[in-house]
Amino acid sequence: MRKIRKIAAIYLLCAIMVTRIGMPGLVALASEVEEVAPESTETIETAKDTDETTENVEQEENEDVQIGSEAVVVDDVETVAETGENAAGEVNAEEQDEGETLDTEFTETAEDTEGIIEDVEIGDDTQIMEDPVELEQAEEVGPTSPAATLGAGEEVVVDTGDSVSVVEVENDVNTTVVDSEVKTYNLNVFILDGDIDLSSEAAQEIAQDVVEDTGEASVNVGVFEGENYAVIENDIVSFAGSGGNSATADYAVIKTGDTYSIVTLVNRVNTTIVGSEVYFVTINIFGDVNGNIILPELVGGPTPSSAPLGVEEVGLDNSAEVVNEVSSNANTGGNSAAEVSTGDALSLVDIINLINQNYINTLFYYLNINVLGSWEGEFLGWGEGGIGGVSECIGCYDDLSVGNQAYVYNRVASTADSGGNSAVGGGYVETGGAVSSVSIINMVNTNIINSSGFIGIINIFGRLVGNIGGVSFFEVEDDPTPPAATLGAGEDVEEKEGGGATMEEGGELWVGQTNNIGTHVLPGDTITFFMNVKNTGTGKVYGTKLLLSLIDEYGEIGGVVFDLGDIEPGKGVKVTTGLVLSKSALGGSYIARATAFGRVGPDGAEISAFADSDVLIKGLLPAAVKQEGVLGMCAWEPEEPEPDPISFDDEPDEGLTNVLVGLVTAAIAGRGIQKRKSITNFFTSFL
Amino acid sequence: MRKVASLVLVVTFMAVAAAPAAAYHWPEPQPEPTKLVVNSSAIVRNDVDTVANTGWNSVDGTSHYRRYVPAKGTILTGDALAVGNVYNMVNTNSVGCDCYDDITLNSRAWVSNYVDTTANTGWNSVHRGGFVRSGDATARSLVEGVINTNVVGGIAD
Repeated sequence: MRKIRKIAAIYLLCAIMVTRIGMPGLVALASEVEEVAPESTETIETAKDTDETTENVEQEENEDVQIGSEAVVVDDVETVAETGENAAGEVNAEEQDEGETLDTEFTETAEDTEGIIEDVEIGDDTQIMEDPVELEQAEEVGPTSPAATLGAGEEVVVDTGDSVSVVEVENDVNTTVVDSEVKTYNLNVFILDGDIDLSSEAAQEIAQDVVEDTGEASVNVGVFEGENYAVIENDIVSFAGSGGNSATADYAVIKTGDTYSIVTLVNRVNTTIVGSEVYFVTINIFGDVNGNIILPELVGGPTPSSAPLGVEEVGLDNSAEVVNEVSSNANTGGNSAAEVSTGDALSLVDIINLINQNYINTLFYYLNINVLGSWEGEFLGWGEGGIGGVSECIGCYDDLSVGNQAYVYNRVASTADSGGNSAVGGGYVETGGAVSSVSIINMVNTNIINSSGFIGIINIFGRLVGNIGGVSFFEVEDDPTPPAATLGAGEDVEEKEGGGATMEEGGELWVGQTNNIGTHVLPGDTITFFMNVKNTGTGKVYGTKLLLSLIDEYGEIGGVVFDLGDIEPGKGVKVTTGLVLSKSALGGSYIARATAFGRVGPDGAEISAFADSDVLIKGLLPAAVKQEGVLGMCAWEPEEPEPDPISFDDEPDEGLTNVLVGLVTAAIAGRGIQKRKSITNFFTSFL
Repeated sequence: MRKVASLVLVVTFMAVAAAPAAAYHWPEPQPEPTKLVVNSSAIVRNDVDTVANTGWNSVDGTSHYRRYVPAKGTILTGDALAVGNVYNMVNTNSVGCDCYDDITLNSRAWVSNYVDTTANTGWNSVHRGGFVRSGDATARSLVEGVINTNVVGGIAD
């Protein structure tokens, strides 16, 4: 009888998940279970009715629920986009009398495929689903070996279009989601004039919502037991080619298009998410994007000492084996002719393995930004977020027991090739660019309880003009002041006065600043600064700027400037930024100074305030410094021994900024872990 | 004798039972100690090969591309940029509350990374005179590991 009750409860939970989450895989699951336990037919029927299901959930409170899941998933994906491998111009002086042009104007062959495979086994009966995903192979595009013949002195032109191969594979295996939101965004953007706003509802229309919170009643069970077993194999081959062309003539010309081979693989295996909000984001920017990438602000993190879940015992057993075999090849070379000009080759592999992760009442971030093209902007970070669980989820369960076993094997080969061309006979080869990118996120044996998290990769292959950060940094405050009465930073007061505009008096600035350093940091470490600028006066402060600078015994060695705009009396702005020390950072004592500047009054008088924090770097000293025996001497001497004080009206000093870039990072790759501990890491990249 | 003994026992029991309530306290129910037990083991192997190449070109002979200005062979290569990033976060336990009386965290991890990153703009050859100008070649590998990490406690300052 107890077993029957368990099975019924399992049905109940599945029914809940089907109705709340709407996962097709779980619908199929319910059908499979019907054969095992026909006594539960009635419960299964309730799965079709959301309202009844919810009622039953509440009635069945404190049931003993067990989930045992086994899955074997094999993904074998091969995607090819090809515009190359063309041949033209077999020279035959006797037979040929005119030239030939092969032109495969912008040919795009792309695979955009997503496979979601789920298999959950319940109870003792073992049933393993093996569901290989076979994706179509893109057909070869463009003429191949046309065997044209040409006369001497004629011209042959091979002009290929671009070639794009995109593979997206997402595996959700043995995933249990209760009272949670899990959002996945896989975006490949070529041209966009506007923001990419992941915090808005509109973004959901262009991305995939794995789970959408329906706002229904909480799922209440007494004991939650899950046993998950999964074997995942992904074999992915992605090829984009426009090269391998050959032409023979006195004037042979080969021009190839760009090639893009993009692989995005997301594995979520044996994942239990309760009362949480989690984002999985991968964004690839290939062309020009003018706009900001706006990230959601998460609410979550630590709660006071009481146990918010009412949980007496939590047992989590995780075992995982994860193997990633990845090759990425971008090629524009290997050409032969009398004149060769190749495009750029960019090859990127980014693997994030999150294995055996248990987050309880935690706010966690991971964001990796790879800049292989150009980025005119900065990473603003996230706002403070909120304290407290996403969902209190009190009574979700009394006890929780989860056992996870996972074996994940990823074999990925990505190739973008526009090279390997041959123009014989005084010919010319000009290749397009080649971009090969592989992004893999493995989230294996992960239990997320009452937490919020963001895991993402942003690859910029093209050009991004805009900032990246939490939505709070992009919120525009309503300014009741007419535009004519405001002044921008650095604008000439007299000119404004000529237009009749005046600035209020009475504004005063206050600055607070802390960092997350305990006693010291080491080269390669990350320092997070928390700055708070307030207008403590009675009037507005105009054109406020915040300068964060590092100062050693010789003076300022670098700084970054944040434009805060106008600040109303009683209002303030919080700024959090990360400082990544390079591996070669030299030891010593520094002062981090946050200085706020602004203008007030009819005459535009400048006001300022600053706050300091100490930075102690324990690192190796340069040889010259060691000889002198001066501890902590800094090798980053400014180009000018006595740099001019930063003037309010001056533009940021490029030299100083560059020094800081050398110290910090050129292209921020931001990663934050466990923000509740105020740790925000960024790792250095010279890209 | 037995009757007397039994009577004494009953009277004694009644006396105890009739004692003022304040004289005796039932033990207050104690909450069950909360437990968190996590056992994690992981084997992770990453074998990553990243190549960006714009080189290995060869020119031979005189270019007739610009027909009216025959020139020696020329090779101009673009930049090659190869990046291999591997981030392993294995066996992480983060508990953001003082929710548990007993916490047991056992973690075992085997992590191996084999990362080859190659960027090439060279290996170009010019026969019978010519000119080679290769672009920049940048190869960068970054392997990070956060293994067996436990963060337990209340609210940070």
